[in-house]
Amino acid sequence: MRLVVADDSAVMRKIVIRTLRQTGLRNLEIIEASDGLELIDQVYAHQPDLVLSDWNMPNLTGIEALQRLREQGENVPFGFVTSEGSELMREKATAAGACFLLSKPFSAETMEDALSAIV
Amino acid sequence: MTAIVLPTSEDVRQLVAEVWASILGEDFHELAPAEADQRLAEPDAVGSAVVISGPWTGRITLDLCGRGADQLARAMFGQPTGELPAGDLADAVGELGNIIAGNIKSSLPEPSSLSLPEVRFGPLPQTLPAPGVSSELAWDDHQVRVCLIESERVGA
Repeated sequence: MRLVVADDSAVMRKIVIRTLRQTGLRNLEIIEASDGLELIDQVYAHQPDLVLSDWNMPNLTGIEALQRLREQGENVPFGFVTSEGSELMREKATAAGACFLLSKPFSAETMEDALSAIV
Repeated sequence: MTAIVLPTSEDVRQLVAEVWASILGEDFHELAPAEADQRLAEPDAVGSAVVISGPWTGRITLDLCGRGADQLARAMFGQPTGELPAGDLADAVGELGNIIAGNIKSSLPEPSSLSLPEVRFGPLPQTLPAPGVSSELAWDDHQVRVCLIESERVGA
C-alpha cells in the first residue's frame, strides 16, 4: 500500500508513520510531503492509494490541496490528521471530499478505526 | 452578544495530560497543578505560541522547562539517547503547541483559524496578567505552563 503523509512538522510525520506501522498494515510504502504543494506533486508522481494530511501547513494548506486535487479530477482517498477537530472543519473536510478527519492526539486504535473504511 | 466561555485551568490540565499520555505512554504518571516552588522559572525554557483568530482572538502559549521539553521531544522522535538537534526540539515543541492550541480552538466559537506555531528558546515571558487562563502544571520533576491570552493582552 502506497501512502503520502503530509505535515510541515517532521516529528508529526514520524509519529503518523510509526502509528501506521502499529496498525498492522503491511507492505507500506510511505512518501513524505512537508506542505500542500509538495503533497500534490507527490500524488501525481507516485499515484498513492491514500493521502494522510495535516490541515494547517505553509504555502498550501491540506484543505486547499484536497480541493485542488478534486478540481483536477484526482480522486485519491484523502484523510486529515489534524489538531483541530471541530464540527465545522469536519463538515468542510467532508464537503471537499475527505474520507475522515482524525484529530491529534491519536492512538493506533483510532487510526485503525479511521482507516477501516478505506483499507 | 453572548460571552465566550474559555476553557478552565482544569480543562487545560486534562487536555495537556491527554497529550502527554499519548506521547510518553507508560512513562507518564500524573500531571498536577504546580505548587508555588514547582513553577516554571528555568532560564533554559522552550516555548511556542499559536494565534487563534475568530470570535475569540488571542494567543495560546506553551512553555516547558528544558528537561521536560527534551523528554517529550525524544519520545516523539523515538530517540531515547544521543544528541537531539535544536531544530528537532523546536519542531517537537511547536507541534505540541499546535496540538494544544488546535484542541482549545475546537472548544471556541467558530469560524476561527489557527496560525502556524512560533517557537522560542530562552527566558520566559512575563507572567500572564489577569484576567486570562493560565495553567501551571508539573509532572515528575518537570514543569509546563499553558496560557490563553486575549488579543489586546498579547505582548502585555
